[in-house]
Amino acid sequence: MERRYHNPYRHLMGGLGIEIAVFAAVIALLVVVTLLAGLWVR
Amino acid sequence: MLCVACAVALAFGCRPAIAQPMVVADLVARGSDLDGHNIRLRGEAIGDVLRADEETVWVHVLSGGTAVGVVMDRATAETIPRLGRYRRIGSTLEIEGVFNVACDEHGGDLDVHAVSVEVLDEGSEYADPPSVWQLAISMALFALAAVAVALQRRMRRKFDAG
Amino acid sequence: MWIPLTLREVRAITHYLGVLTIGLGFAMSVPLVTAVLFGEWNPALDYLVGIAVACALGTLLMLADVTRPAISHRQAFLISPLAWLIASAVAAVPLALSGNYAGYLDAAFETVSGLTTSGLTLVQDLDHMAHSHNMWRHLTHLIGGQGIIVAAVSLAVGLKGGGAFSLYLAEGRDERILPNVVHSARFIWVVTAIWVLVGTVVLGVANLVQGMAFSRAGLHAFWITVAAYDTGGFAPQSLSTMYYRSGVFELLTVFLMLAGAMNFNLHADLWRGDYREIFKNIEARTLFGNMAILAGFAGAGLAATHFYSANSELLRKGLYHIISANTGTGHQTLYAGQWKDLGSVAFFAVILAMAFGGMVSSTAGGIKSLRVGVILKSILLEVRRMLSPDSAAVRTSFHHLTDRELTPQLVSTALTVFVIYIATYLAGGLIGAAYGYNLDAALFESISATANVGLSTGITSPTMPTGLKVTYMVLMWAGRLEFFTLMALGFAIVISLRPKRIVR
Repeated sequence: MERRYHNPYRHLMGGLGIEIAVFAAVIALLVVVTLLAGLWVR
Repeated sequence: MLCVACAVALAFGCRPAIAQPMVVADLVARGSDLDGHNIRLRGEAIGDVLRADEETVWVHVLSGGTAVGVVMDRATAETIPRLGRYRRIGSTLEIEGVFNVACDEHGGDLDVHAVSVEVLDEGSEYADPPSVWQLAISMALFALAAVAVALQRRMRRKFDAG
Repeated sequence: MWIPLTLREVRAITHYLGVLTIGLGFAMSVPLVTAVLFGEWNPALDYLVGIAVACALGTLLMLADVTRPAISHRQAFLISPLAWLIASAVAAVPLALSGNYAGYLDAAFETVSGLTTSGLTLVQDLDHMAHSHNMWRHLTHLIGGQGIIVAAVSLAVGLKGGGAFSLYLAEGRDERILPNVVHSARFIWVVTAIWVLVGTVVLGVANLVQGMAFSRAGLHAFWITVAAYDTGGFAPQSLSTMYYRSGVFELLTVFLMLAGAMNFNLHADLWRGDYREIFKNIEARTLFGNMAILAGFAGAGLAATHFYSANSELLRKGLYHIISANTGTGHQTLYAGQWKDLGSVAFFAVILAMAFGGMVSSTAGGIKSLRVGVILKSILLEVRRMLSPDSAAVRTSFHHLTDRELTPQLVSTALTVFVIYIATYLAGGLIGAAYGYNLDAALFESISATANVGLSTGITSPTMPTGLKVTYMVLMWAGRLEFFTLMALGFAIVISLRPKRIVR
């Protein structure tokens, strides 16, 4: 598959939105993992 | 026997802390030894008054090169005349309070919950006057740069011409 | 064959170093304006001197070659490390004059740390520092994080010939985002501008809610945003992000750190509307998986010590540092002396997080998750080979922007860089230990410097031995440029000075 180089500014707001949503999901995952690990040890 | 020894050690360990105001750097260095103890602290109030909850605020106190967060009533914090920053030495405070090495109430921060706060010194503003030699040096350097630019133009004209 | 540099090549390199030095002088106008706005007249003169030094040195260096030379691939690889060196040296001038540093070396340590987005600091009395000096400290993160050369290329400052892309590569950026390198560099700045704008507004509001005055709230928000997004780690107060005493504030900085650890190509793909890329990308998967495993260890380790009893403390003292370390940021909500309180499991989880680092083509440092992902894939491939019938040709592919086949060449490159990083981490740790520090603390600090993180166990202080200061400066510089550029410079100097013995 050839890399596409088209305009990276076209979905700027959508891209920013998805970035923030993904980060929120990742942080939520990390929070759950940390707390579960903590609970398991306690 | 061991318990008695520990109790005695603890009792004597915290008594001098109460008697003599501590420096923040020592407080932080001793950490767990003093956890939960009453301590007396002396240092300069710096930075901002930051909200902790409805009634209490954070004031940061600096001494020995280290700062610590002190939780106190909003009303008490408002009586502090100066908070240290650039060109301003904050008020010197003497704080009596409870030291927590990992405060459960405040996200595990190392902090002090103030019982009493005394302003020992109002603090002061100080000037940071500009030095003339710096102006002189920069002018000289700018002149040097101007000469270099002129030289470059001449060399470039010579190069372009032939 | 090793080919020594010609005088003509050296002159062209010197010329472009001059151009970059002048560019850095222009950047100093930002703290100069800040100083004037806040009436900080003495710091204003510090920046005037800084600009004058940059202009004088820059114009003199430019005299080396007035023919507007084009630069070749190999010259580009020599300009880059030298540009970082000279930029650090010039950027340190106003800080050395500020009175907040023990001397010029400490100020230079600060600018190396700032430009490489490390965040280790030798500042003294930070809580009384002028706004303009803080502005410059944090601006070094912004200039260095996006790349000194990227900054120059995006403005297309006097660079001619095919050298621009080589310069871009030489700075540890291995892929172009757009066909045109100038457009790629500008894209990096657009992403940065948008994230910095969003971060400043959001953190500014958080600061106002906390009760800070308007101008201070805004300035602190901008500085912390730049430091977190550029995965730098400087902060305007000595207590780093602990100063703000707010879980919400810390959460917001975590978003910025993650954004900063993202490959600019990934930003580009998402902004092109290709939302699936972030789920398929080997780098993103490895980074998030890696953080999850280490967060688990940190949570378990921290809970086992019973030092922190509330759940929120596991997050704010454990998880926060895993993310801060893994993204290479280095914002800290603990005192330097408190790492021992975390217990050895959480402590080593943070060390590993620092060592692995963020994504390639981001502002993060460390081994980087693309390489870790490639190495993991190749381990899986070996196992699959063992388990498959003799006649089968076992292949595997991975997705990084496009689908790629895992070739021995890719694996070998990833492993080479991996090995160099590990060796450097250990060597730095040994040097620290040789100066009399505990080996675990020395290892922590060495990895923090090499991976451009900036978390500190307290070894980095104005009173540390001069030799160790220089060691960490070299580690930060080498880590940021990913070693090879630096080795190229070293070899070029050696073969050019001693041509007869080495060149055959």
